[in-house]
Formats: sequence, structure tokens, C-alpha cells
Amino acid sequence: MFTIDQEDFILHDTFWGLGPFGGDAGFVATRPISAGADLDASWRATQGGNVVFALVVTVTPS
Amino acid sequence: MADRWTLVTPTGNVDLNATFAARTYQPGGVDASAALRRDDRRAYQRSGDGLRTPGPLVLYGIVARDDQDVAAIVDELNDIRDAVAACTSVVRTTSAGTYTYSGLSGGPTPEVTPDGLGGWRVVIELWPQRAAATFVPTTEPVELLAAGVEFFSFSSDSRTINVAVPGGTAPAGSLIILGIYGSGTITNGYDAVNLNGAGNLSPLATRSGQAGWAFRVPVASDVSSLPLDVSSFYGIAHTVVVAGQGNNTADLSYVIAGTTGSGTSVGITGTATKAGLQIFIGGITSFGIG
Repeated sequence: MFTIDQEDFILHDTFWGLGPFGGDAGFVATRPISAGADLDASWRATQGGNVVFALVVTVTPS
Repeated sequence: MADRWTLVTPTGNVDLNATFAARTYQPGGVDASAALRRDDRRAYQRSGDGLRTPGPLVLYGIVARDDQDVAAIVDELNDIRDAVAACTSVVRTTSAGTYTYSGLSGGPTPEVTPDGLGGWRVVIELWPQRAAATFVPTTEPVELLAAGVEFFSFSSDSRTINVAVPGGTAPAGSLIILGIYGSGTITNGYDAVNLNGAGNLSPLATRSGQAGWAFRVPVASDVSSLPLDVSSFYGIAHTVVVAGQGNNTADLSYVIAGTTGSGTSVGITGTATKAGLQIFIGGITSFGIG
């Protein structure tokens, strides 16, 4: 499964499709963030991966 | 032992005599008209929320001599006057130790009045350096409406996938952030705007046939799914709905890594340039393991 290193993220949903023939998994999480705060976002899976992806983007107030 | 006070200046220290004391040990007060500046704003505004504001450190005492040596009294008053003008910090010494009031920028010429007994009452004001702006969190948080993940299995054909909106419907006026991690080609994104700024449907990054995309989709009228035309595709759609389609995005950052062992941490580092709601998606492909 997934572990997000930063405790203030809220994990909203996951897909975990690993099986005997390989597979894919993903999650989405959010947190409020202040300007100047650490943007750091990292995670780890209990499964090793051939390719691993991480993406962050901040939605700012209009 | 009574408090003793020392005025620290760049050219030397002046020890005030034992009669000097402070009006209050914590200069400043609570000012209902304090100026502050909100995060992401340039203009100052008045605050009535009782932020503590800086104020002068006030010391008072008497300069007098039993021998009525006027010249010595004048010398002491002059020393105090000169030290106050150049004072950068004050050290308070007590039987328990010392406490330093730092960050001072001098003060006006001390107020001196006769005490009626041949001495002089002296009041010293020492002012803090200009205060730095106080930032408070934005009062306009980005409202999260829904977030979800769904998987699309492989198809070698060209087809349209309909990414379901988590929660059922994205209301008119909301904004959807759509992250895709998978393999293949996206040939039509309809209303999706690629956050990579390329003006096309190219991914942010590709590694070993796997790719990551990020889009923003302003919602003009209620929608329950987002169509994407794809080819030779499988992947995971990460969908986040926030209120307010006028919202913008910032600090897009990503990493796509090669072979990793179980428990290996993967991610990005940096500093947020803007306040808002940070969205974090992760994906993993693990062929032949399990």
C-alpha cells in the first residue's frame, strides 16, 4: 500500500491494482499550504516499481 | 539585588545607576489599529484583532549626588543622553541573571526634571527598530469538493474514456484538476488545459513507456465525467474538484523515477511560492512483480 511521508496530507482515494502479472497503483491527496512553506511531497509503496511517479500542483485562490 | 540596567552602544556601554527601573519589563502593547499585511497582498490594512505591537522601553531613575557635585551630575546626564541616542540594546542584570532587550534604535533626548533636592529625575525612552511585516494566513482557502482515483485497463484501440467526477458531479463554476499516469497517447482533451504549458496534449514526463499528465478543466456547466480520446492507452486518472473555476495553479512539480525497491521514498522538494490547496498524486507501475 501507500505511505505518504508528510503527515499533513489527507489521502482521499487510492487504486491498487498489483497482481500476479504486474499492475498499477495510484493515489490522490491534498493539504492546505502557505506561501513559503515546504512544498515537499514524497511517498513510498510496499511494492517495488518499474516506474514511479509523483506530482504536486497548488490550486491558488482566484 | 535590584535590577541594574546597561545601555549598550557601538562606542561603549553606560551603566545606569541603581535608581533606574523599567515602567514595564515587556515594552509595547496590544494595539487595535495595528498594521498588517495579508499573505499575497501588497497593501497594509488595519487590524482590530489585538496583535501585540512594539513600543518603547521606558526606564526612569534619578541622577543625584550626596556631595552635590554639579559637574559630576552633568557628566552623568550627558553620558546618559549620548548613550540613549546611540543605544542598540539594553542589558538588565538581576540576581537571577541577565536579560537583553535587543533590536533597539535609540531614543529621544531623555526627559530631565529637577527632583527638588539637587538631583534630576530622568526618563529614558528607547524605541525598537522598524517592525517587520506580520503575515497572516489567507482568508480565502481553496474549497475541496471531491477527489478520486480510477483505473482504465489497456486497449490497443483508439477510444474515448470518460473520467468520472468523484462525488458524481462537478458543479458549474468549479475547477477540475486532472492528473493522468499511464501509458499511451491522449489525442483529444476537449476542455482540458495542459498544465505543462505546451499548448498540446504532451505529457509532463515519460519514462520506460510510462507518462504523467496534468490538466485543469474549468467547469462551465455541471458535468459528471470528462471525455478524453486516447490511443493504445491504459492508466490511472486522478481527479480533484475544487470550488471556483477562476482559481489558478502554481508550483507544479513532478518526478518520474525508474526502478525502485519496496519502501523507497519518491517525491519532490521545494518551497511553496503561493498559498492554496496542494494536490499530490502518485502512481506506480510494477511489471512482473507480485
